[in-house]
Amino acid sequence: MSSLSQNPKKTLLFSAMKNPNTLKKKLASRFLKAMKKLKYKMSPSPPASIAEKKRRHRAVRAAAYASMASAVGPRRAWSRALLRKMKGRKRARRNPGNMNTRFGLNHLCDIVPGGEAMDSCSLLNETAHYIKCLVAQVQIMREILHSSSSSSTIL
Amino acid sequence: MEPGLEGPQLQFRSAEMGCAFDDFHGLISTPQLTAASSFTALLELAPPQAVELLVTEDFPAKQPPPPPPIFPTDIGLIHRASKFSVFASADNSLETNTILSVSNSLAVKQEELDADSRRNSYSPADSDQSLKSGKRKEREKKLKESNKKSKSKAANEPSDNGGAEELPYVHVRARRGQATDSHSLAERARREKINARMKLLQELVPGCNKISGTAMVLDEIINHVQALQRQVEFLSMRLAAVSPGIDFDLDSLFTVNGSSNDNSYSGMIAPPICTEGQLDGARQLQLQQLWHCDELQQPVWARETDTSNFIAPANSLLSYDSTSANSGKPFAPRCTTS
Repeated sequence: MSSLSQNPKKTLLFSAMKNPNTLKKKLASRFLKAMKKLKYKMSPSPPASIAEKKRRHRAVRAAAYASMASAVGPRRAWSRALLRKMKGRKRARRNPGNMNTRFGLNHLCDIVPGGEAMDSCSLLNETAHYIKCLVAQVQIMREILHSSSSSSTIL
Repeated sequence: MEPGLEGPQLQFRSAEMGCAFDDFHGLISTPQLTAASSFTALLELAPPQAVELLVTEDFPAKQPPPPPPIFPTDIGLIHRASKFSVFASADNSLETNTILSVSNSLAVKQEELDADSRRNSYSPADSDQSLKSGKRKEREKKLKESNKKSKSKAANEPSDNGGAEELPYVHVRARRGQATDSHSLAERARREKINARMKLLQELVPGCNKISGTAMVLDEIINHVQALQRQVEFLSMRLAAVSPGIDFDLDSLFTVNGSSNDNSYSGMIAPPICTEGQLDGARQLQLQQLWHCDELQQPVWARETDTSNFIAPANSLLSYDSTSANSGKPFAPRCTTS
């Protein structure tokens, strides 16, 4: 993906490989599956303790990121890094001499998963795709909340 | 079309070489190449494949110490060449064209060259060496911007019509008035790539188009990603609170399919302000409890409950010291039970 010509429109086309709808559907189905799995584990009544709440929160967040990464697949470096974090802790940190070329991308490589072992060009690519997927994931979660809250009167 | 005089020489050369591509052999053998129509026959058969095959393989010249001739790499050139017999002589007519090792850019180059060709005027079949080389020089100069650089810097040359190039390097021509050092060429190519990516990112992040200067744009991008991660966090917390009551099967029918088409980034920015404004007191209390006890640092907690200021003055609320606070957290959900 990063080896394309420098034509920005073209790289946008190629980087938006999944046009938003298919990406969203994929993300949504995975996320819903994960949430169903989670739901069986959780106690049906709202938990009393704060620790329980925290655990639930973390589980949902993990499910969100895991479903996002697995929906994208191992095609992207950030999804690979995320999946690595989920499963084992193999820090595949092969550093091909990046610190020299890093013109101010230091913060970015902290934020985007797997950002350290990438050169600047691919880091920017991965950031773009990561932003797209994050946006889609946020929309999905919000829509789930809205639909549930409109159907029931929890809010 | 006018006969391509030396067209068959190309085919024969490649056949001599023992080209490894069976397709190419098939292409050569089947159309029964004659002097008149060989190259164009090849073209009619499968122009893109032919070009790709021509591109991706070394063809030695006929001369004993062969500088490998470089075939023109896009279809437009070959078409025009066949039409106007650019390949009239075998000697050094094919030397100085550039080759791209990536066939993806063929289409781009073809567009450029088509545009160029319409501007150029073509002389008929009696093209001289000088005219050919002049045309080629023109085209190469216009090809400068779309060329990419490969990893090896050794084969760069300044923009004179010189000797043969080597394969399979990718060449970057120096533009007018710029340094032709191989290092600077490589750097320039890299910089152009990075600038193209930054432009993409600018389009992706809302409100980045007005900002000038890469540093500020980078800051905006970082802010945006952090804001998105915070939103994921926030929404996951709400979902965790609500989720025993949610029927996730039915949701798959309703949620994403119809309502998602208009949601763009602007739609994403606006709702956080209103949805987070829907928090009632109980929810806010719950959130405060949770986040107070959680090991999140103070600024994050303060930001999340300050719902009306969610997105817009996020810059002012964020101090860049807090990037360290957020660094480990968002995408590394450690399922530790504390």
